[in-house]
Amino acid sequence: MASFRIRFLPEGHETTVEEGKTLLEAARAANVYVGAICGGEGVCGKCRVIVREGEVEGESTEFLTRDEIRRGYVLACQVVPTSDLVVEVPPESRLGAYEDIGIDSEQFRDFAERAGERLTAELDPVVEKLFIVLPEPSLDDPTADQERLLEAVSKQRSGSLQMGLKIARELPEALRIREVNRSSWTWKWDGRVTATVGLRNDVKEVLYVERGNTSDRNYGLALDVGTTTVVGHLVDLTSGVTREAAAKYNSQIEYGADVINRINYARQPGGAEVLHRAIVQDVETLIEDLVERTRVGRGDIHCVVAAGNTAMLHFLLGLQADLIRLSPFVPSATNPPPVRAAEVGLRIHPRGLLYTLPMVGSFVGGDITAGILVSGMHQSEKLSLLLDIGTNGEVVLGNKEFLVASSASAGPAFEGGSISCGMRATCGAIDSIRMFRDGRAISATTVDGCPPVGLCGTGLIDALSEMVIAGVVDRAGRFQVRSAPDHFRVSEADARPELLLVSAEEAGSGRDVIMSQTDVENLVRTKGAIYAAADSLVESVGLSFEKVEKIYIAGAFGNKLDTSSCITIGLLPDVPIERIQFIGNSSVAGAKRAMLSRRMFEEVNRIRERITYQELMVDPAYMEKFTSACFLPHTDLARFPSVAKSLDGQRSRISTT
Amino acid sequence: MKVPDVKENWSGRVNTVTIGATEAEGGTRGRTVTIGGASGTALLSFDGEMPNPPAIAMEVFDKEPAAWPKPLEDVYGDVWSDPPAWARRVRELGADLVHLRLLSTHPDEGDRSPEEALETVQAVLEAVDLPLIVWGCQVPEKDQNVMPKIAEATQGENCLLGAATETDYRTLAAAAQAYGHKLIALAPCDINKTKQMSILVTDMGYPLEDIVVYPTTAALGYGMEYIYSILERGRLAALSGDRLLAQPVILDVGSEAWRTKEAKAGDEFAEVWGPARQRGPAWEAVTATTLLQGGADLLVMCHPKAVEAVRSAVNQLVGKELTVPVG
Repeated sequence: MASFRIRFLPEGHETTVEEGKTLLEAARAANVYVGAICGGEGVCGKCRVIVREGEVEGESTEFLTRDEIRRGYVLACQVVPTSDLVVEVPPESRLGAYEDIGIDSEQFRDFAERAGERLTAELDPVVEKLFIVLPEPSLDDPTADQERLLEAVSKQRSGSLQMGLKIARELPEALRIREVNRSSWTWKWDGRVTATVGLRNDVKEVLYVERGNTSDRNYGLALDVGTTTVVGHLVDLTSGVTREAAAKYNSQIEYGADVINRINYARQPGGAEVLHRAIVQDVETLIEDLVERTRVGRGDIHCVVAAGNTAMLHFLLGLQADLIRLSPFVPSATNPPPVRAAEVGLRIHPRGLLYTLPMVGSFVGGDITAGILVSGMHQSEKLSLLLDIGTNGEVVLGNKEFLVASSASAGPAFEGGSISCGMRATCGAIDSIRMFRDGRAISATTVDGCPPVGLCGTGLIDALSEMVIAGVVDRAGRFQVRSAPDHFRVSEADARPELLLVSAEEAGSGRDVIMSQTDVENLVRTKGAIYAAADSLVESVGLSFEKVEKIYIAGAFGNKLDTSSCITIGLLPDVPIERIQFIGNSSVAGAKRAMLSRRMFEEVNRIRERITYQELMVDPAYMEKFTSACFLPHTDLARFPSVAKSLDGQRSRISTT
Repeated sequence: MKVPDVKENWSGRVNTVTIGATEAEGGTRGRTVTIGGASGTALLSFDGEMPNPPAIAMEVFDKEPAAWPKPLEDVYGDVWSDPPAWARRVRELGADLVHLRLLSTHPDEGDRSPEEALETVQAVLEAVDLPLIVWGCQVPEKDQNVMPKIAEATQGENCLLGAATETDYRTLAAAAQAYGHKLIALAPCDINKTKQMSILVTDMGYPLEDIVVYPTTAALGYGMEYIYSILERGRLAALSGDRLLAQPVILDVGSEAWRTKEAKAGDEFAEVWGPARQRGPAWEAVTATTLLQGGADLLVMCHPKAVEAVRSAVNQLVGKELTVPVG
């Protein structure tokens, strides 16, 4: 069988593939990231690459314009090489650079600091180091080494203790120094050791014992395993201070944009292992980045506390995830015990522990229990609503008396999936937009100030909101080409009108940044699903949004999320803006707090037990609410009085033209 | 023991919509037809008033129907290639309004020009003095050319024009408003879609009070209960004061009923299903009378026997004199 040599630009990675393999498979073999949200089915159009040299053959696609095809663009998943190739991966298909999301971004600092204050007051990490000086044994006090140590630990920390055989074997040498005397040697008592003690449910385990005082070197990794983004914070467990944060995209994206697609991928032979390895590799990459930047030794990281949705935590632990998707939706485990991190392939201290925050069910995971902990809604008198806006939207309603949660499949639109020029919030993503009311002039900001390449979630929300206010779309989200002709041009690909935001000359990718009618439809459906989920949940307990005193928004939106844009498009209910609070990535924040305080960890467990899960998808009323929410801002405008006012102005403008 | 009065006290009322205009009103119609106005659930006199009984428009195509079965051919076969003659026939058969379907403007059905369509409309207007419903071919690109022409040329006649859809409503709504016609808004079997259509059309400045809703129609045995429950829910919401659902409703009963195999099948099934000449009209009549009770205000129908049966049923339900349909 023939094979071809493929070189990928700009990095120049090379690989050899057998005849019949697609270019996407070749890219994977060469370890070159090419965005493929649909997992290689040819339906997302995101795996655009340019063939510079050589020949390929494959299906034609509607995702490329005639001009692009002339310039050598192909969809990597739809073509197979027929000769050796040189292929360029254009910026829009590449993995963005690691985004340093900051330890706690500006907007959330206030919140994080308050959280921090409470933390330092009760610093009691799940893994701690105790410096112990043991008295020398004597004929009067012949207690064995192990019991001597455990007794000393018990004096400092209550509760039952355990210790592995490996440690018992090493203990005598840790407590004594060998004094070599020519061909023989004798033991000299030292007795000064540091015991690293980790919490394993109700029991404490002496993970390992080392000579001398190393109690100042104790680190933990708080992890948010998101469907799209994986975030890690390296925390000094002796002070509670976050030393450094890092984020990267979940490499599993290649195998499907959402949880369901990934679970489906895992059904293929070997698929589950591929997903498990991908996420473990992502965490390893984060650790590598963090230790390099902080000069902390990998061996001084003693624990990883992971929060994430149920499917992601299953993939991380290598648990069977298939049943999550199938009725009656039973996960393999919702409260896995701490395990050795090494067992899943994480290279921290070999005896270090991996904790997962408890999950509630198949569709409400450890990210939600973390979010509740961070918001504090479970202790508040006030009725609060927590919205975690991700590919799977999760909602929690409650206060100190009760907690109900639900989830709705919202789709990846706010993360850039299913949107022509959608992208994640990395360099070049438009993250805020203001359109001038009477022309097509636009002012926009991008992440890191790079030249615009596409739109991330906050930019999409802003764009849609501006379009509604300007009357560029009607309330069903249809382009109003005739009443606002200046905003539109006709698409090269399908002759449908599209909204031009940034022309190719100004764009960082050399491609126009546009929004299509389908993009708007996808956004409307996504926001409709989230609003409808919140609406149903609030109504299911006989309440209304006016009664909700606090709304917490969690998710990877970043700093630019504009509350009033969210209300204009009907993603959030029209409540006074001061009731809405963004808590940023509450998943990683919750993991961090649980890591720094056993009491908090126990609290997460109590939260988990308190949550009642409401399955909305099977409720016919949800569909009804969804349809009425798939309108801008909503079919029932009386729910959005502030938006009604702005729209009134727009209507009077239209009727005068 | 006294039986408690469980009657609802409704706060809302269905809008009234008048179709057609007499000479005094600027048109050329012999009379007008007013639909809607109910202040209670359909046909229940104790529940509220029903000032206007359900109206019946009868079907006229602008070309010979391709696959109408024998019971309809028996009634219309001699006139169905001549729309004005067909219109006169339905007037004789007791139609309240003429429902003219511009089928021949459809690209696959002859693709007739707007001018040709207009000629037919004008010929029908001259042939009969009944109020007129004009329904386009439902191909947006084509209707956008045809319907404004018709709206303009029939200014003053106060026709009912159909149908505005969620994706294409602007042209038709603008034309209806400019030339003083009533408008059908298509909202397929969904309360929220109905509201959304009302909002989209009124956002353009078209009056809510001039809209007639078409929630689509399904015949007996083919999902009729879905339409029924949508009708009923919409009506209860309207009576409870929801202004966005207070429009009267038009249903396309005739076409839907006569599409069913039970109505179409000939006498080869007579032994099991009964004779075709009774079966088809009965299918249409049962569909119509059932849906009337959900809260329909205007029915488009085909067979005169079905029309007769529906009128008789309505009269019985509202306590008027009993007439027995002629078998």
